[in-house]
Amino acid sequence: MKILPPRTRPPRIPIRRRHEPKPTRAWAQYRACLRWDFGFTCAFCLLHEADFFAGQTGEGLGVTTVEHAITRKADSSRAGDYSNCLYACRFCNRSRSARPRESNGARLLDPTRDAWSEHFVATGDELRPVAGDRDAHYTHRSYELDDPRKVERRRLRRELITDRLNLLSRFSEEIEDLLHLADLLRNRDLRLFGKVMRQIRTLRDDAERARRDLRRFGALPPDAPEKCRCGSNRYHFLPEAFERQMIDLKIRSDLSR
Amino acid sequence: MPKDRERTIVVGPKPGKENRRSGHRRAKAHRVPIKGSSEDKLRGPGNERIGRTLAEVTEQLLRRAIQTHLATREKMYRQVEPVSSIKHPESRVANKRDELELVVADIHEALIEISESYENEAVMYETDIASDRKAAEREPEIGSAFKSEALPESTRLSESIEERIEHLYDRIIILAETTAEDSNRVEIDELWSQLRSLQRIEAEQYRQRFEASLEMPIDAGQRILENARKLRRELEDITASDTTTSDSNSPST
Repeated sequence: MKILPPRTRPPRIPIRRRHEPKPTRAWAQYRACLRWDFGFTCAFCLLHEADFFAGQTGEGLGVTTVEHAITRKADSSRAGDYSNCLYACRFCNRSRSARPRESNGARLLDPTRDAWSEHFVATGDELRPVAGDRDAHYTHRSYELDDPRKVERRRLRRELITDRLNLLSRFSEEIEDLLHLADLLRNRDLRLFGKVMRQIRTLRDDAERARRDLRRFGALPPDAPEKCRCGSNRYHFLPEAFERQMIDLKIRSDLSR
Repeated sequence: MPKDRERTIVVGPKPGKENRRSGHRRAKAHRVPIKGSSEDKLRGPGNERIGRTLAEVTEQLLRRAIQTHLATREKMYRQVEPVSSIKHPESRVANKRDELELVVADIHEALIEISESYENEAVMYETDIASDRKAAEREPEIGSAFKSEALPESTRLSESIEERIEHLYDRIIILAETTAEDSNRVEIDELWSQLRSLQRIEAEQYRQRFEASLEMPIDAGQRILENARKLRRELEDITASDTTTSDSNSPST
């Protein structure tokens, strides 16, 4: 199982659209394609669906939305144009509202054309615009990329995943040592041996709970769509921009012993 | 009777609309096409809710028909029956036929009346549907679909705060778009600071819910590791002392 990284770094390449859904004016029908194309991640603030739903199903609740690069207010004829649709969280969508693509010589950046890493830097739990980059500043302000709600969600994910991964990566070694020492005790003090085994078992239970916490941040949500408007599942995998950041959560056999 | 009324019948609330969450709209009637035999007309499309509503309508009609029938009978009994009708049984049959015709006419009238009362409801419902569609076209996802109560407890947004945030956004946008001057800047700044503080409150509430939903505290991993290490050190000490003791007790060669 792959899980999210403690912190999603701004992608080094623009997000490439792979899906080609049949055109429709009902843009909500692009959602399945958009979710796969954008890796279930808000294209702007980089919050993943798991940051909102914690491993539960959340589709249809309106927390993630279809954002129009050219707003419907500016050009309603582009509303059903897939190339004009982006996957965004509700916070980003609401923050921008109907702000124009260009204002005072600055333009909104497009995650499918601009590499986010060239314009934003992940600093702590914030996504700061590169100094002097007017477009990045305008985008940052329009989408409120460091809205306190987003920063808090980033922080919680980072702290939880870092803590649990740290535990799991060292835990098997610790358990091995403890079992070895307990084995030495077995023939000498049976009562102490039983007490130690009980403690080891408690530790193993803790590790299992840590794994359950980590599963909340699966890279693929439990309701990842099997069908989309393309009619093909050829591109039902994460985009390259995010895939390389994911962590493979190998469940070590020695932990479940 | 208009043609469309022959083709459709208007029944109670549309299935699934009986318990609207918002509560600001009444459950509206809707049209159900009637095709096929008269039995089909009564039953309508196979739907439990519609079936129930039709059963209610039928019961209402029958009750009214029975009342009419009894009233007519009473009226007739009060009248002195003409001798001719006693003598001539065919006139009794004629009276009976008249009576039945009255009942049928009454049922027919009741049907029209009930249908008309639902007609108004149906028009209102259709108006609602149309306005819903327009609203959906305006804000298909943001405006109406956010049902935070359906989210798991851990990730649920505080609805009242969320609504207030929405309201503030709306006000800020309206003020910003409708004025070119700086006259409203003070108010916008004030609203902006309110918005920010609400966002912080929401973030804090989210943190509490998130942490409460975890299997163990967010920083528990480190403590567990420390406990494991502490236990290991203790065991190492015990086994080391045992080894020393057993070595000292072992007979020298």
